[in-house]
Amino acid sequence: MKKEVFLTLAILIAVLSSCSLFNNEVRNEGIYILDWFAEAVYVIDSTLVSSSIPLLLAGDGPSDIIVNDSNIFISNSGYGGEASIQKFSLDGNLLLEKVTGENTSPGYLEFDDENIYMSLWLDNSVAVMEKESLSLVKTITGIKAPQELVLYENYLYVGSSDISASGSIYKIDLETWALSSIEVGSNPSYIDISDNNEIFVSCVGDYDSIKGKVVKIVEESVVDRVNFNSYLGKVKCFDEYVIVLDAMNAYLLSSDDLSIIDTINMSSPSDVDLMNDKVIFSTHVGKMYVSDKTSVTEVTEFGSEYGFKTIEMFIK
Amino acid sequence: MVYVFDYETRESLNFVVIETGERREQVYSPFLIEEGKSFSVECIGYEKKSLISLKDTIKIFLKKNPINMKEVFVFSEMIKNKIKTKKIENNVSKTLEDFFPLLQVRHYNRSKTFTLSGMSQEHILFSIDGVPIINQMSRIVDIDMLSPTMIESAILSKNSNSALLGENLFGGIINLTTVKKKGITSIADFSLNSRVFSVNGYFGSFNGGFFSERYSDMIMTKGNILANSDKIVFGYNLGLKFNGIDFSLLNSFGESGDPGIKGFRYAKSRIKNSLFILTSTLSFNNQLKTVSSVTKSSYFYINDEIQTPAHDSSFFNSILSSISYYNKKANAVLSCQLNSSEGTKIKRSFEIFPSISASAERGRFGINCLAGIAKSTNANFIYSAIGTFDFFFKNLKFNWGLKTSVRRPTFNELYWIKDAFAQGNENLNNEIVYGVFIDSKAEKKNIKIKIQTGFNYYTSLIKWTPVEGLYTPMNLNNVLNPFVVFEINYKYAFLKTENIFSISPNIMPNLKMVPYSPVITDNFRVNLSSGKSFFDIIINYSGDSYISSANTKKINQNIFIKEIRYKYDLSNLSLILSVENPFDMTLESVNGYYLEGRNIKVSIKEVL
Repeated sequence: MKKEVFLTLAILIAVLSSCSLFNNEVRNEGIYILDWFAEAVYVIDSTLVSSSIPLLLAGDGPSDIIVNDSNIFISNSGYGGEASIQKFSLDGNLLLEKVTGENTSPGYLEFDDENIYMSLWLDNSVAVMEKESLSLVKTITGIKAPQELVLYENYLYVGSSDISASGSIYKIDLETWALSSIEVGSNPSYIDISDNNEIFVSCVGDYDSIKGKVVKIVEESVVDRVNFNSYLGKVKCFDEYVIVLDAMNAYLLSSDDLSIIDTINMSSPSDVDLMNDKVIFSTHVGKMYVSDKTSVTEVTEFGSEYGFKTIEMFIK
Repeated sequence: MVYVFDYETRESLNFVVIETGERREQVYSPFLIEEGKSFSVECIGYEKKSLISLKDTIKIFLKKNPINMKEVFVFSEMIKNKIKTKKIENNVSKTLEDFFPLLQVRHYNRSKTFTLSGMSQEHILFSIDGVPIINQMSRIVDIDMLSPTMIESAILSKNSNSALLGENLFGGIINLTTVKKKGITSIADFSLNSRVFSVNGYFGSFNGGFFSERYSDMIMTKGNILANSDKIVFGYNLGLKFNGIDFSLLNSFGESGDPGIKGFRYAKSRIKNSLFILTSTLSFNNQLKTVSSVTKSSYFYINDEIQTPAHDSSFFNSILSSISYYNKKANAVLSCQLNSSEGTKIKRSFEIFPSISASAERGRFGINCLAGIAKSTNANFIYSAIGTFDFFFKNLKFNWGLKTSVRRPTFNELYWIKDAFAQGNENLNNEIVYGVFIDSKAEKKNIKIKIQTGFNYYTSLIKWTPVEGLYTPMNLNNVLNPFVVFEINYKYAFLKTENIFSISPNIMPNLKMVPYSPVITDNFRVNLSSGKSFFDIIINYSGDSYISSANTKKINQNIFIKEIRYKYDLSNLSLILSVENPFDMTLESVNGYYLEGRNIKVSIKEVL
């Protein structure tokens, strides 16, 4: 009898534990939407069902979100309040907040096993912080208006909103902290890097006379470029494609020669990323779109009744 | 010499009737009377007072004695909608702040915008002696550009009376009346970080004056200085009156720093602006008058600390012509505005805005109607209509009304050139409101109570909303704004208290609240007076207000001890000593913009 009771208890515990694990997995995997209007984070699960209740409220003027296995990190530009980086549990509880001070404007985030990297736009620097305590490990200065960060092997690539015609992206050696730059064009804010180390840069333009362009860099040299008649946004590469956003469209380019394959009309796209074999598009204006990697231009609208005003999303 | 004053307000009464044993005549106060002589003084609307002249200088304070009239025809267009009047003591902007919560102020560092409860800055019209200060670009008027000695009082009125001034805004009017009394008024106002000096004289058919305001950097709580928040304004005003023709000119210039918003501070950015208003009024008789005015304003903004650096300028010009006809039962106004603007942030814009409006009021039944139609070359058909009537129940007086009105978009809302933050929307429709209201009044010996209740229903309301990542004005449909305002005044001996409590939720269709529109607001003030001394405490309450229509974040409710004020009032001279924000409370007016901390002010006003 005792054996049976123990066996039953053991089975119950095992079942409950597995349920709990399963729930965690469901909850943690998905699309984390950083809504700039609500200054909040919403979660869309892996079946693309979204919550209309925010998981958490971010700080003042949130800029970027990253999510690792145990935490959510949010950078806050401080517009109208405190510039900061926040660390949350996956349940949305605030664990830690580090204020960076006025006129720092925390922007984009990147992470590896040990550190969190954060661009400080108005401080012309990138902060390196230990991910548990968010204590400052190093500040890398001399980076003009740093923007998006991308980690590739042991290097951190940094976009820049230098609007001069000779704007550069930056490359930081994470062992020596050596800083170098690659000149690409006006306002090279957004970066993505393919598996075979081809760097694609979206140069936004100077919001005046210089319009946007996408630049391909191989071995630190510009090998290709394509000009647009608009100001550009985020860039994403996968397989043989590159997707670049502007105010009214997403363009599908060939990663080989940057030729434009097709145009997807959507208002104010803000971010693009991959979730398994799907391509997810977010917008500033409440809509979300999804398509298959194999037929990127055939997008389907999805999202919540609320309509996320997404500034950044993180797909986990 | 005998001086005669109103017992309550301490204002001088200019024309009084004196009666001695030998004579009865109307005289101008102050007047001379033989020593040892018995005489009486009376003035319409006041109790008669008899005394003997025993001193060289006698001050007589007459108590009010309201007169009953059977039937009165009133053809002033703002009687029914007037909410409150306040005398300008030392600062126009500060006086307007005293209208809280009926009028709410949003502070953006040194700049201020004024809104009626539940409405926007675009819904309110500023006017000087009934002549509108037109700014079709934004409808924002920098109130510091007006001379404090030129302005005598501020009258706050609600609803769409502005149609009778050649505008069509359903929020209301802040009408600033100018000083009409002969003599010289001067104000010197000092604080820890400001110096204001203003003089205005009125001599026969000529009046004129100048003013200078210097504000150094704002002193925030705990004595922290907000760098680059200084402001300088100076200007002059001239007026001429002869044979039924009135000319007036106001010209002022300002420069201030823009310290930015919390988190994004600018150390060197500057704002320069100017205001020019030239008005002529020609009165043919008591029934017919024409008004012509030219308003020009300019704005420059220089900021090299942002990307892309801003070197912005905008110019706005307006010509208003109107002809008004009055008789005992009604009045009618025909007017036309020609408005133009250009600048680096706004498309070159031009508007012709003709309008015709009429109102009628019948005293016996209190029936009051106003209707106006207008057409702008940049907007659809514009109209206003309002009807009210009075009725009595026991000792209560009620005024009941229905209204509808349309507000055309501003040039900024229509033609703002797309930048990194915002863009205009040329497809905007007019705002449309329907409303019903009941105002009631009751008065007992020491207590006066006023209750205003009703609701506004906006079938279309313009709000700046994020679209394609940029703030864009959009028509928001079906916004409901029920409201109740409860005002109680209590007076006993040397004590006067006033409390104005307002509930005014602005509810959007998704049951979210319109941002920066606190549901509950309250103002409580206590006044103690003894002889020539007056002591005031002003306390404001604001409920939670959301900072965006997402309703996720809010500015928390607060009880704000706004000011403690002492006034010593002589016949020609008043001295005010005030402590603003005496408890040095940290208060956010708009997200990222904070009120100044504790400050001490001394103000002297002299009327000669």
